[in-house]
Amino acid sequence: MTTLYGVLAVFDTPEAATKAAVYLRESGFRRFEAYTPFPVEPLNRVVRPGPKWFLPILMFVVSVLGAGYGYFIQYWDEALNYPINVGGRPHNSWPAFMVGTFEFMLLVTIAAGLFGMLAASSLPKLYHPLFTSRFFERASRDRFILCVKASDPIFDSKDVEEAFGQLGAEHIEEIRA
Amino acid sequence: MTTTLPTELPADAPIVAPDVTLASLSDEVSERILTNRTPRWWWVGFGLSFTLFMVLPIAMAWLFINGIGVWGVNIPVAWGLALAEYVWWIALASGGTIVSALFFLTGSPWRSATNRIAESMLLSAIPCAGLMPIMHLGRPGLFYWLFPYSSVMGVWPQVRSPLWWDFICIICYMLMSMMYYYAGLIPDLATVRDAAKSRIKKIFYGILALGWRGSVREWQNQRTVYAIMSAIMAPMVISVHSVVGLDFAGGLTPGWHDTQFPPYFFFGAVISGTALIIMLTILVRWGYSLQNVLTEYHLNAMAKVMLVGSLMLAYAYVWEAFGPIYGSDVADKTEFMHRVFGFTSPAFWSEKTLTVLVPQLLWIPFVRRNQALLLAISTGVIVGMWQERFVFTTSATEHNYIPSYWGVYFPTVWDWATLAGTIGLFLTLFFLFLRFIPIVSIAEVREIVHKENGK
Amino acid sequence: MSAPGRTYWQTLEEIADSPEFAAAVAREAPRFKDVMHGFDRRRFLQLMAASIALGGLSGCGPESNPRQLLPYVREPENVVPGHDRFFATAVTQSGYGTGELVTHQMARPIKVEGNPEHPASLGAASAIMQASILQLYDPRRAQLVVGNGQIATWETFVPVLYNRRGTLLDRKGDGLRILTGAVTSPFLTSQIAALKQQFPQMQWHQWEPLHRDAEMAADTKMFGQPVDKLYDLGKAERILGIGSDLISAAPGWLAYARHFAAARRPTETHGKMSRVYAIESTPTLLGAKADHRLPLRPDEIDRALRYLAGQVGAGPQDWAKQTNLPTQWLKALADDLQQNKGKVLVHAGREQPAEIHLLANAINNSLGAFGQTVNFISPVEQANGSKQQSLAELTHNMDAGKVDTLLILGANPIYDAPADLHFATALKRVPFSVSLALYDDETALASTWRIPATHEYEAWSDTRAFDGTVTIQQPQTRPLYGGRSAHALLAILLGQPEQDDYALVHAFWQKQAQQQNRGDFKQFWYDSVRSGVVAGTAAKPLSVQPSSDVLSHLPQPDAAKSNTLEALFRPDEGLWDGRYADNPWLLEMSRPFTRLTWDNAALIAPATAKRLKLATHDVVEIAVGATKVKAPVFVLPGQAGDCITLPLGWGRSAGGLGVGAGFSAYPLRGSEHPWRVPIAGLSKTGETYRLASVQGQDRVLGRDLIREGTLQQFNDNPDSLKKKSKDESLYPPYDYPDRAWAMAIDLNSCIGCQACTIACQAENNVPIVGKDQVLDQRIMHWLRIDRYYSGPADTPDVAFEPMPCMHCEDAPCEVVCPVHATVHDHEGLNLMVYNRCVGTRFCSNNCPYKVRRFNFFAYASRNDRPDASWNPEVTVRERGVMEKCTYCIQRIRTTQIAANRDNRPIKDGEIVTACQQSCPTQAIIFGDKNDRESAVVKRKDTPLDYVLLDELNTKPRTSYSALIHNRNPAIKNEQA
Repeated sequence: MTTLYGVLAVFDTPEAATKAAVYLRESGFRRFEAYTPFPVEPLNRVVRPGPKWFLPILMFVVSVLGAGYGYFIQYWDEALNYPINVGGRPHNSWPAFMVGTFEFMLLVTIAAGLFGMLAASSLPKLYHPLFTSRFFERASRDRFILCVKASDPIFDSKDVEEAFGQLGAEHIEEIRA
Repeated sequence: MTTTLPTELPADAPIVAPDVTLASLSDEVSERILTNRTPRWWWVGFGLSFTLFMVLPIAMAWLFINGIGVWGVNIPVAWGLALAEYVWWIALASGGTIVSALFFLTGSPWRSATNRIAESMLLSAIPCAGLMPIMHLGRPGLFYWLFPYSSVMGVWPQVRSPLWWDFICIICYMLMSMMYYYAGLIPDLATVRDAAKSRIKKIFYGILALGWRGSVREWQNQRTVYAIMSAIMAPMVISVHSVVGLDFAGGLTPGWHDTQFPPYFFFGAVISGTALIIMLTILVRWGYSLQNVLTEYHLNAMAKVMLVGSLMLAYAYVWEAFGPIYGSDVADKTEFMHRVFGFTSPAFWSEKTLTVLVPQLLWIPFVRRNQALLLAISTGVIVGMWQERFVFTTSATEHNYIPSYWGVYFPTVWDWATLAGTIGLFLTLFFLFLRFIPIVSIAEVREIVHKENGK
Repeated sequence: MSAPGRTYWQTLEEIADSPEFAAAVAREAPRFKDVMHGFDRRRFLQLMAASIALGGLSGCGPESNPRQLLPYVREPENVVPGHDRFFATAVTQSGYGTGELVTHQMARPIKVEGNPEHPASLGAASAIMQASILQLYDPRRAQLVVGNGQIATWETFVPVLYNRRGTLLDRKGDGLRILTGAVTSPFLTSQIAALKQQFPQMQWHQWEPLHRDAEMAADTKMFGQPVDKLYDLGKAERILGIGSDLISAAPGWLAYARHFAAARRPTETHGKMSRVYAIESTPTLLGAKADHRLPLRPDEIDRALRYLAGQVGAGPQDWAKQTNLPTQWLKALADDLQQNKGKVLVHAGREQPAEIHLLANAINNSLGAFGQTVNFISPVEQANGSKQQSLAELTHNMDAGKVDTLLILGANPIYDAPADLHFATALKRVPFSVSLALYDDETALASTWRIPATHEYEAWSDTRAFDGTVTIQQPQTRPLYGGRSAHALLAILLGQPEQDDYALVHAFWQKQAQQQNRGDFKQFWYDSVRSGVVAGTAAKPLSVQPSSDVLSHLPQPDAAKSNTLEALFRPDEGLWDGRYADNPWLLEMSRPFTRLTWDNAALIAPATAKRLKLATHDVVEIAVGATKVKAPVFVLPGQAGDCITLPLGWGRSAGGLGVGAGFSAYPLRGSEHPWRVPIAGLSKTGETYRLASVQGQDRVLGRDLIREGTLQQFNDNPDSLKKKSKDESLYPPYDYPDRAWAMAIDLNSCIGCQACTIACQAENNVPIVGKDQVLDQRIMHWLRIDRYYSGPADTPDVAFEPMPCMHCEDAPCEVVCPVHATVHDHEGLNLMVYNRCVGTRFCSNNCPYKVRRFNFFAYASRNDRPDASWNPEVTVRERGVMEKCTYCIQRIRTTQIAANRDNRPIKDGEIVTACQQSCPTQAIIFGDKNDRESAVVKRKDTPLDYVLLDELNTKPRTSYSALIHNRNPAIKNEQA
């Protein structure tokens, strides 16, 4: 008998899921998460999945650093490391360095975006207790799933399952960790 | 521009057919790649493409054994088909990014269904483009000396050279496109993972999906980042093609030394890229019978983009002529006259016809909806763009500043073999994408389906 | 004699099939292992040549025995000091010698320069001289003694000839004949004289296909004795060339060209300049430089000259009454000549008939040229008289069976004899014929014995220059391919078979020295051989009495027959009479006017071509009498109407690389009409033939590439030709504190002779690419001479423009190279770093002057020449890298190193580029732009100086001096 991870409830419309989520939040639950086939705006407000500004800031900072490095490496190459007369152009031909700077900046920004996104979503995570439920597969198809974690201070499986039942969940299941 | 599309939806063309549900959508799309019974048309198409692709290794072997001399290039015409086709491929690739990134920003709903096709096309085209400049080197084995990494000579690349900008652009473009592609792909991979029945497939797509669960947090991060990425990819693709333009504009050669080349090239990318996407969309639609997901609506929208592209190109052509004729430079003038009336004139005129005149038919709604015509026009555009790249690449150097050193350029059989081979490579890659990657962005279409059903 | 050469051959003969030898080959020359199987000896030996060259050479350098080669100790000005050693010698062309200094690198002759102390060279070296070094190494040279179809050796041949000597002695030499080319060598003459004593009945014949019979006949008639003429172009202010080869082929032309150009640099002669007229049927270099040029058919030329003679009072007055000639032009010319009595020079080329030469002489005479611009010496050639007659006699004797022993020394009559003599059939009647030839040529193959000849760089001999100056030729290496000299061959007949040519030449000159009581012979020999000039051997001026009435009984000219086509025979600029047809450099050298490589063509005037509906590349069949020859057409502006020029020397059927290139015009050339023959029929075959010309467009198309003006303009306002270019740039200027190398090229001086192109090729290891690659526009010449026309197509003005790298200060090529493979150095040289280059070729696209060359294939390694023949100072470029003119950076560095070593500044003129050094007219000057006193700065400071494509603001270091024409105001330009 392993420990309980949480209670999962399957809803067939985003609206139902949202309603349930709102109920949970109002009744004081804090640690619950929603799983949907596509982003459902209202759920964001209810589930409160951490700050929205983090990734944009990260990408911005990285892009500035990237631009700086991109320019410097060219300047170092042409003006510091091996300064030589190329076609009578100045060693620091900054207009010519712009392209490299720009492209490098974009490259690192995108990279920061992708990996930042994975990190912020704590991916990759190839195993997750929820995967044990065969209903969970439908979260990526046509169902909207709520899961209250056992770690929630006011968690009590009986109450939660009851609540879900009243909220019209198609299916309710206890997930073992 | 085309952001006004939703307001003028043709009555008979919803974005997706009404009978599509969330379930049917996911099943249809993932079934296409999970099925064990590969459709015969795929085998035929893939077989042909692969055969064509096999020409490339032969052409390359011959080239590397004997040297660049097996091509038609010479002095003065030191750049031939390889460079022209490089530009051509890049333009096709860029089209993919334009459709997926630019129109994501403009929030055009029709983009969702086609962006995956566009990006697969882009990822198949970039290798073809990237091969060309490497093959055309006198000493191809040393291409890596362009990396900003201290090579055996201890000297770093010369970063003032447009060729180096170009090299960097291609590398960045390829990497960024892959990341952009993947960022958008993860949720769909999860869908396929969940839909997969066999264990191997579950594991395969499971690993690719990185354990995506579709939680609110994941969605929020993915959407935020994806939006910013699109915002970056749009200027990126413009810069990439502008830099390709600088390869020539940066060159001190009558006919090349012209500030309009960057936009000129970008316009070309818009039209030829869209044209190729239209072709592929029509084929995929037919092959995968996804008529209800990829509807006339999409074709109609992209046809309009192509039309706009041809108008932009027409504008560039006007300046192409105006510069030399109005300008005072004798060399420029003679070069242009030869381009128009000289050895290259047939290609020149057919190019203008195929890329500007013929696409004007798209003003007629009927043409936009008739797939056969669309297919024909798009093919014409792509051929026309090839001719355009060919004409200005060779004709300029043929008629340089020193009349005693004028020359002509004839492609050899090995030039053509390289072209054939890269086309084969492109198709081969694209067929592989068709077989193993959800060819429609399921997650995004879901929203549309949801909206439509909500109506 | 060449010990290693001989032993090597013997080894080959003896053990060619033995396993040790196979092993040896595998070791020495792995490339030829496979050749051993299916053993074909001739082919094998051919292939072995390259490695043999090495084998032969490895034994070079200071010889063990006292026969020391004498280094050129006192280096003249304009010769690069350093590790090179220079050995003076001379090469001959149709008998006349030109002094040379051969550069040796590590005891290997590498490069030919002119000998500044030699009157015929003055430091310059023609393209043909430059190319002679490649001929020396040519693995296709004859390498086998063959007797009666059997491979033999010299040792087997000597007794054969010696025995024959016995029988000949009994017959007092009856039936013995010797055939040579034109001979100026005192020693060879003495040998033949000695033979004449031993064999009174023997006869000596000479044959030169490009003989000067007509001129000599005319002179003999004029002066009562044969003479050679020397011209003083310093004094000549009015020059009239009649199909003249004065600055292109006449003996001593290099020297003449030098003086010709010197008198035509208004910036250096205070606005004075000679005025040159040319009347000719086919363009000559003198015609190209002429201020007024009049293309005329040969018969018109005849009448035109009579008209002139009449005008200037050299001939009957009524001659001046002719019409149907451009009389206005000729009148103006006549007046101009008359106003400059005593400063006039009329010169007619060797191709002109005797009448023309007589007329020229007469005009010179009545205009007081003799003694002023024309001086006389007794002939330099040892046996004068008609070469054609001489050969004809020989052939008739052979036909008559009077000849049973024939020695052919260097001549190739089967290829180049007049067709009607049928020398080949005559030769079959000769039971014993020996041919001493550099290649297994047509005649050699037909002779009963053929002996590989020594190259002029392989044997001791002597020769005389156009002014009589003697040079003792010293070998530059031992015979590479076991050749033998004519001296050695004749020595056998003289009964001294053990002697070698060093002993013979040495002994001969010892005798000479005694006779001329020159004192200490050792010293005399040393000085003569070292300096390449035997002091005081220049011929003494001859005072002759020109007869004044030669013209009175001049045959009436043949009436003007227009629209009847005539074929004109002319020497080829590179292959001469065909003796250089195996030289890759000369085959690929672009001809000054046609700019054709690898082919000759029937040259036709645009108007005539139009009338006959012919275009370049069409193949026509030219019929003369019963003989027909197929030839590709080349439409040549400036060619006279109705005459078709057929360059000789091509279409060889045996020999080396030249076999099969071009067509041979000799079959059409008979004794009656050596230089012009009426064409019986000309028919278009309908075929076309791709001619490889390296010229794209013929005109400048509105670009400011050739800046030109008239002497009038220049004298009125020297700056009138200046176009002021504002010196603005976005880039901060780089300063070149210590030195700034720069070049100035004088278009007025450039006569388009191609010497610089070949000199550059020799110095910088520029490979040949072959006709196909030339057709693909991949020729590699670093320095080319562009040729532009202006004016009407049938009477155009011609401008030659040498195009080396401009070494731009703001070089467009450098900016676009992504790998730093082409960059600037601290002295402003535009460097090309071969091993850094990855071959994007953007630099070439970006070069407005199109002076960059690319190795599309591994050309250098494809060139079939011994490794030893490459210049070790210069990298041999590999496949896929760009290359271009470097201002001969290896010479710059060598001198700099030497200067640093001696801790002294580099003198101006101490560094000369290969092109500059070989240029006969000193059109090219190279030096330090920072040195205000340097020659290059002086020329750049003249108002005529300009740079190409100024508007691009590339700031080239190479600049040009504008063309100046000294027009005769009385002649409207469009008439000429």
